[in-house]
Amino acid sequence: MSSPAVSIEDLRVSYGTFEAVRGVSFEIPRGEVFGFIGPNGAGKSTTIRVLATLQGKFLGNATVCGIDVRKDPQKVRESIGYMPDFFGVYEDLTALEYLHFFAAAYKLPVASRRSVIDDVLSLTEMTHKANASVDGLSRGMKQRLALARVLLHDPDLLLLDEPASGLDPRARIEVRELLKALQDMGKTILISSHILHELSQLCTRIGIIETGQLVAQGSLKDIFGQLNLRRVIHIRVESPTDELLERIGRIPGVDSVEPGPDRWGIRLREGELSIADFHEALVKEQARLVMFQPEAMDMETAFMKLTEGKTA
Amino acid sequence: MQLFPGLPVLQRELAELASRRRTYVVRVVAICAMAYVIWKLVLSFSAGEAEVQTVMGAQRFEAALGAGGPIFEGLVTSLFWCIKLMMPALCCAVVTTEKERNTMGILLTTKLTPGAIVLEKLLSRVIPMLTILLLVFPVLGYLYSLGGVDLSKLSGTFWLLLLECFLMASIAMMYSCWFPTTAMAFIWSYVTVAVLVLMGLVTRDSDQLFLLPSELWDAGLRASSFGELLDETMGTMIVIASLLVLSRFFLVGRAFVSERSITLKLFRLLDSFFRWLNARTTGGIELIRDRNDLPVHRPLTWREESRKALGKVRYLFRILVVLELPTFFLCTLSAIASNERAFQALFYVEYVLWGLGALIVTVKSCTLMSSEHARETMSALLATPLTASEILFQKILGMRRLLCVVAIPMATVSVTHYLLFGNYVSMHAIGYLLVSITSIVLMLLSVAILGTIVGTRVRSQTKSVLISITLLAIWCALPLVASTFAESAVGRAAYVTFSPYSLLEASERFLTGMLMFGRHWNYVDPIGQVWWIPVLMIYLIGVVASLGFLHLRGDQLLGRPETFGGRSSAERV
Repeated sequence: MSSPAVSIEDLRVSYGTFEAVRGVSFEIPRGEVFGFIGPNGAGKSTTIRVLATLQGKFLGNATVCGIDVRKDPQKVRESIGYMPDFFGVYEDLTALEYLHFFAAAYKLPVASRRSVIDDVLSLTEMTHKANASVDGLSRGMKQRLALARVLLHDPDLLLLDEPASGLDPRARIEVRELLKALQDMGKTILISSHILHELSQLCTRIGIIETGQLVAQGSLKDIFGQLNLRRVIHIRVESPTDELLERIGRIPGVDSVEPGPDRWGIRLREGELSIADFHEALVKEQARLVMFQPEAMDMETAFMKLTEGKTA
Repeated sequence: MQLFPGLPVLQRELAELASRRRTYVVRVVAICAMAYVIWKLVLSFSAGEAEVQTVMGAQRFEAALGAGGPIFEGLVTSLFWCIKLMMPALCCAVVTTEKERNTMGILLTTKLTPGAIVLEKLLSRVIPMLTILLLVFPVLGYLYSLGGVDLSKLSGTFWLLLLECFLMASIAMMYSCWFPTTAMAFIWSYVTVAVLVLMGLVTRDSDQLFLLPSELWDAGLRASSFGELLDETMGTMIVIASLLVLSRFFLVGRAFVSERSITLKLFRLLDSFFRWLNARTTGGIELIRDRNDLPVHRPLTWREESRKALGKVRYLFRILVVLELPTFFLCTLSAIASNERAFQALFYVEYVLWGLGALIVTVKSCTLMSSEHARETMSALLATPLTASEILFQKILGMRRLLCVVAIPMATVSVTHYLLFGNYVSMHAIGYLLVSITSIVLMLLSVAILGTIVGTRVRSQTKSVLISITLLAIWCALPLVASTFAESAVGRAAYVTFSPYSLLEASERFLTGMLMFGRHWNYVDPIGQVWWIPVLMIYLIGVVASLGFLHLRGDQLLGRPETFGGRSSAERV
């Protein structure tokens, strides 16, 4: 059995007397997209920096693709692509020179560099900006260029610290689509973000961290199950009657039904009834649906319920 | 702080200064330096320490009458130098820190006028300087009581010291308002002060209008009354007012100026001028075109050499011309006009070139790594498979052209000394040339390594420049100060060996002490004959050890995890 892409066990990081990470443990199997969520100062970036071999001193164990971060950081660096939460600018380079610079830093064979760079430029849709100055690129373009950089050496694990922060909606969607493409390519991705809605569309697993401690981890479904969260679905039927409302309330897995002026809000018990099954049950109850809209704020609910708003 | 209720900026600046440990360190160092100066002055005035005790004590008070004059003059001269050295450093960061912290916009959107901001900021730095001077005033009062100093001289001196403070502060303030970074303001403030001092030295015998109050003091305080003194210092006051007016305009006009390399901008401007000139004269023929290559194996060296102002051959050649032409001119002049003994005049040129070279290399080396921090590119770089020693050595290698450019004018002076010696084939002359060139290489490498190490530990470019220059100054000066306590020439040489200045003195004493003085004046410098050996050995070992340290402890310096036989640094802690 192959080792997990990331394994962290009782990780502790201190800055002076302040303990930024306090006993964090989790694993990320290969090929998964792990969303790392937490308020500012929770310890997300510090944890990612440990995996990126940038944290000088820490306690506990951290391995990347089975390699101990502490014992063989050099080998770990060959397996990861790290994108920090800020984009540093070499204002004196063009996008192409920037990628050649990092290709040399990643020690790619000289003969294949040109084709690799062409490929990553094409993947990130940056080919037309190859000769543009890095300094002159928009923030969204810079993020794409940074993604192109981390892909140069075809790493197994991508560590992306807030890749969508500060981007406008269009650029955010573009980055999300790019990450989906990388997910399809089988890359393991550890991504931290504040934009929970986007993570819910991308991640197979999440970890919620607050004041240096992991308060929950697992698939979204697991976490909703742990929290006993209710999924809210808004429906509108052609001819609403009290009798139909009562019948819907009796469907197994439905927690409550709240009639509104133009729609009904149905709360489902997560894990007992899926959205598709509920839809099928409504059809069986002969409800002629005009609108069927599941609420898409589940991860926000989970986040708010799991965290207390404490910051470092 | 209730002293300044209507001056919020002054209040905040003084509170910030009071909360910094550095403020108190500077005061203690300044006072120690002053105490040392006073002690040396008293010693030099008297024949020996025992007599000093007799003269300055109560045993023979009448013998001390009139003794205040010469000590007073020496002390005040030191105070003027203290102001020249400290005031620009204290004041140059006063506005640039606001720019570096991005708080300038907030400050300018308050109800405070730009003029008020400039004045309050200026006062916030002049007041601490005056508090340092105030500590010496009781000593001045005591010297006045010993006689030899009249009251008008005393009051005139106080006025000139105050004016000197304001003049130095307003020069630094203007640069602080103009430049985006403290490092640039720092360098230009000192360059301006150095130029003013040199101009003063050149024109000191002419009947001129004095700009620096210290020059007027050196000229003997010609005014008989305070009114006349005010009249004589009117020019200085106008200059101070003009600088402050300029500062007020720069404060607003250059509040959000970007942190681009001014040298690079200047060179690009020159490029466009030369291209235009070339197009007009030759129709655009270029004999040597810029290579637009891409990095292959050493990306950091490639970037340093092909994308930086102090790395490109074309730009470095211009710097070489600027440094080499006047050096060559002075060397030629010296060769034509001097006999063998008089070529010592070139030593002053050598001092200046060594100082300038050390400054250029320090600024460049300490920004090698700190610029990566400042541009937030460090994390991306450290996450690559490049080892710490590869990163550091590629960066240092990127400085090799600059080191050569700085070394050439220094070596020119050494070659001139060698040629002036006359006997080109003698082992002594050739030995001197080798020792001198080795000394230059070792000095530049030592400074470059020191700057690189500081740059890895200090994230801000400005701080790293200031810390490196301060460390270099301490490294140079401390052994020299300590050497004054030595009782023998050998003891002095032993102390001086620990200052990089020893590389210069040892190589020159090898030539002058052993050869020239030995032949013409029948004087043999036994220390000069052998001193260069331990000096070169120590600095060679030092450079090799420092490079080894960078190689072995690179990860630690760059903040990466280290491994010590499988145990982490954290576990060791």
